[in-house]
Amino acid sequence: MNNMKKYLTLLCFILVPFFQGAAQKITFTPQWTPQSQFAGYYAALENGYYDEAGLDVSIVHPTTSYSSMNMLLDGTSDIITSELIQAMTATKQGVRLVNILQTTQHSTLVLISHIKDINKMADLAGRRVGTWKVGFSEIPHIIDEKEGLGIEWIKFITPLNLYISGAIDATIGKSYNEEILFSMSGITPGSILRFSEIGFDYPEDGLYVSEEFYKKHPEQCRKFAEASRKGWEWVRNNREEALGIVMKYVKEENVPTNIYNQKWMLNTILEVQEDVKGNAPSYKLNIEDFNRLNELLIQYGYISKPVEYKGFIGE
Amino acid sequence: MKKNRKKLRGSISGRLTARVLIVSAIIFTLTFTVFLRMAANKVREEATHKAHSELSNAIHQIDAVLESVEVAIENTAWIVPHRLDSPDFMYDITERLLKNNEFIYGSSIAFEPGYFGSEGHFFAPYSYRDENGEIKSKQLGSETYDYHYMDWYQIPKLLDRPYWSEPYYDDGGGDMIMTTYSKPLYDSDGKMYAMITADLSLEWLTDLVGKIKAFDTSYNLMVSRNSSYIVNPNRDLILNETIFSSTYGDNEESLKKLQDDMVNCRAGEVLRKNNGARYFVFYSPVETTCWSVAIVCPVSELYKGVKKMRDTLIVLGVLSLILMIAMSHKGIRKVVAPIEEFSDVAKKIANGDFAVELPKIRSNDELKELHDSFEHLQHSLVQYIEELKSTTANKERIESELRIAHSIQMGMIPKIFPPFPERDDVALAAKLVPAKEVGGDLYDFFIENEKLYFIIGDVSGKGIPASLVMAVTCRLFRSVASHFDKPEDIISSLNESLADGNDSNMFCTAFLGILDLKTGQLQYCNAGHNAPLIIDNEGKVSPIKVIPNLPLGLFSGFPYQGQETVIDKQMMIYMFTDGVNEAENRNMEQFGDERLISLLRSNSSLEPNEILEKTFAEVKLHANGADQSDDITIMCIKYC
Repeated sequence: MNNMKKYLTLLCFILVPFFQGAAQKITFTPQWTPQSQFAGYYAALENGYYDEAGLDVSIVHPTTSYSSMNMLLDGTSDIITSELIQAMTATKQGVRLVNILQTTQHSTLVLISHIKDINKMADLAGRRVGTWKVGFSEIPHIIDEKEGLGIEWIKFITPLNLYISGAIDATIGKSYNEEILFSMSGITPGSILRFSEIGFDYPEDGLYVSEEFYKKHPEQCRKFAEASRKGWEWVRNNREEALGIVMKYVKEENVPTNIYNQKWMLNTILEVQEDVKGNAPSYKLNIEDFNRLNELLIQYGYISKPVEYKGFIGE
Repeated sequence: MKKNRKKLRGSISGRLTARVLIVSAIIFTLTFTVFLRMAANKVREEATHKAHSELSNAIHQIDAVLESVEVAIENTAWIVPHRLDSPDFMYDITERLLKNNEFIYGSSIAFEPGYFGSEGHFFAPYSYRDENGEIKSKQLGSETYDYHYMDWYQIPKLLDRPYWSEPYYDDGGGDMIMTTYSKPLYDSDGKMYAMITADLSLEWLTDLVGKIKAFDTSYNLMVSRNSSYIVNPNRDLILNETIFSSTYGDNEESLKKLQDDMVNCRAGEVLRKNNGARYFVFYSPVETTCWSVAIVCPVSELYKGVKKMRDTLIVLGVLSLILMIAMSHKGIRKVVAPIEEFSDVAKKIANGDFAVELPKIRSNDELKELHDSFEHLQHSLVQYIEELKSTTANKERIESELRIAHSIQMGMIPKIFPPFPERDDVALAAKLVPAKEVGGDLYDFFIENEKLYFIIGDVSGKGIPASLVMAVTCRLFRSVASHFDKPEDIISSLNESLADGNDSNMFCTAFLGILDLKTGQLQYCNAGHNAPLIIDNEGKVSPIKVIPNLPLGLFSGFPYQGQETVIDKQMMIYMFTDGVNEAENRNMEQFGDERLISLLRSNSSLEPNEILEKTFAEVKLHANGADQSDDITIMCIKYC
């Protein structure tokens, strides 16, 4: 028995360093199917930045009807990307999120309409307007609710055919995706309303983990964020190669898209990562932007009390 | 060689050939261009017709298949409301639909959320054919496949009418492209409760469109309403790219037209550029779905016949031009060769060889006319030269005779001055300058019995006739004067002699005087001549009062009246013919009586010969180089 104890103790000594050095398994889920919007993470994985950080990362995409937030909530994913407003209001879905990296700094939300001369949300009062089934459209919704515009929101997975068929009058979209996609599909919209130009310019994409996960694995979170940032910086300087990586992921998932679409998307994404003056990305969530969004959410009654910046941002 | 080129450029044949070349080249080019343009338009028209005909055939077939699916759904849908009591029976319906319609790949009856409370939120019985072709069934809806938000469900629901979905890759069927026809089902309240669908594989469509062979190297495309490729020779592009992906950001007109036509389900054709090559795109919509089928044909393929024709025409044109230049140059050379010969002939004629042989011209054209003109010129020149020789000889003879006549005439008038050097009671100077070799003016004088007989006269006309009358008058004066005492008698005698047989009506004005050198008495008779001027010793100049009478030779028996006056010592009688006062300058202005009188007044102190020279000098000055038109004669007598 003593011998047995000795052997077991010896085995522990041998195995503990091995386990300590073993890579941490992390499942990462971006907020949509493969596209240039997530080029930095693909690049970090392909270039081995996560490996170098001692992380064993696997990227699992959501489906078009089952979001990354759902996957975080059901425990499939450890780290997700999300838009700031969704992350700040995630408590509604029963989880507190922690921002570990802020990538984009501006709103890319657009409202593409068959109707001409749409200059504000109120111009679409009583109309049928498409909106993602999985979110991304909180601001138009809270404006509608607050201003009582009576918009008939039509949830969609992808809005293109819905829009072309004439089943909706307008649709929410992203400047880096739907706006380009619609144009490439031969559509000439009646008008395009940009939320960034009507007083709703807020940061969007960022990396998030649950508060629980963050408390358990702060170092891994920091490493993941740092490697992701490195991935984005590489993409900024190697756009053509980055596009090749994106297209590889696109093909693996059989996403119907093309390199032209992804190229324009990547350019737009990299642009909104810069600040208004075109300075290099900070990858940080500015407290002023955070507070502005807090004020908006309270003003429009979307949340009752402000979200704490300190707990929301990883240290 | 250089010389030849210069000669070619400088020659008529060279210029004509060049002109023919330029005009022909322009005509050829214009004709070819118009012809080729018309041919190209015709080819394009026919190609368009052919392409649209092919497209129309294919589209009819596509529409027929799509319509058969619609009919199949229509024929099945009516069963659903009758069996709503049994949700599981829905599987029977979809399975039966597949059994009865082999071309339908799958079918579902998808219900509104929670329609059957017992079946949960999602209930969409679905039958499909597996890889072995066996019909299988399953319930389609789930949390991860929320069909309520799929295009095939949501769009017809919102539109309230059946709908053909845009083609998509079937998740289960690998590369298979599918489209779904969905028809909403409504309850008695008009509320939609389910969607019955039929999935159609589009593999047959790919084959059908792919088989259209409108042109040798053309290929075919098919795009959905969202412009994604459904059919494309490059399969990687299918459902991944749209016809506008690669040109995103371009603002080209042909793209706009293509976009506008396809979005609005219109047929048409555009010319597109891609990687430097040009393509015609002929397109036409499928009526049922508004998908567009297109035939893409390289312009080079379409126009290869025209291009071949163009190349042939260019070669033929160039050869024709070369042949035309060669032949026209040779022809023109042949035509203009006689002109060069005529040029040589003209040089020889100019050198005096009037008998040079002319080039032989057999044609009856402008060259023949030139030949005849040259011949006429030769004859005329020979004749003219002969006449010239004769005329020149005659002229020389006449001039010689005139020179002799001049000498004779001048010999008839006194020309030694002073004529009476031994006398101191009279000084006399006279001068006659005829306008031609011989003239009609005359003067004469002699002293007999201390009386100075003198005459000055002017015969009408000039030249030889006048000179003959002058000679006669002078001779008569000499022979007659001394026989009469009175000037009127002398004049009358002269008149009778001249009037006798004067058939040519020649006449002569004359002033005849007899100055008694002892007393100064002057008897005179004027026969139509200018009144002489008296210059007294105080410088006063005044005309002698004369009775005009008539010139000599006009009327036989005319009673001439004589006059007389007394001339004081130192007074001068100044006589002249009208050649003096009527002398004209270049402006046809006459010398005039006033100027003559003034001249004499200012020179009254001079001797007769000096006055005479002064007068001639002044008249010459007035004439200022103008030809002398009349004889000029002056006689001045000073009584001392």
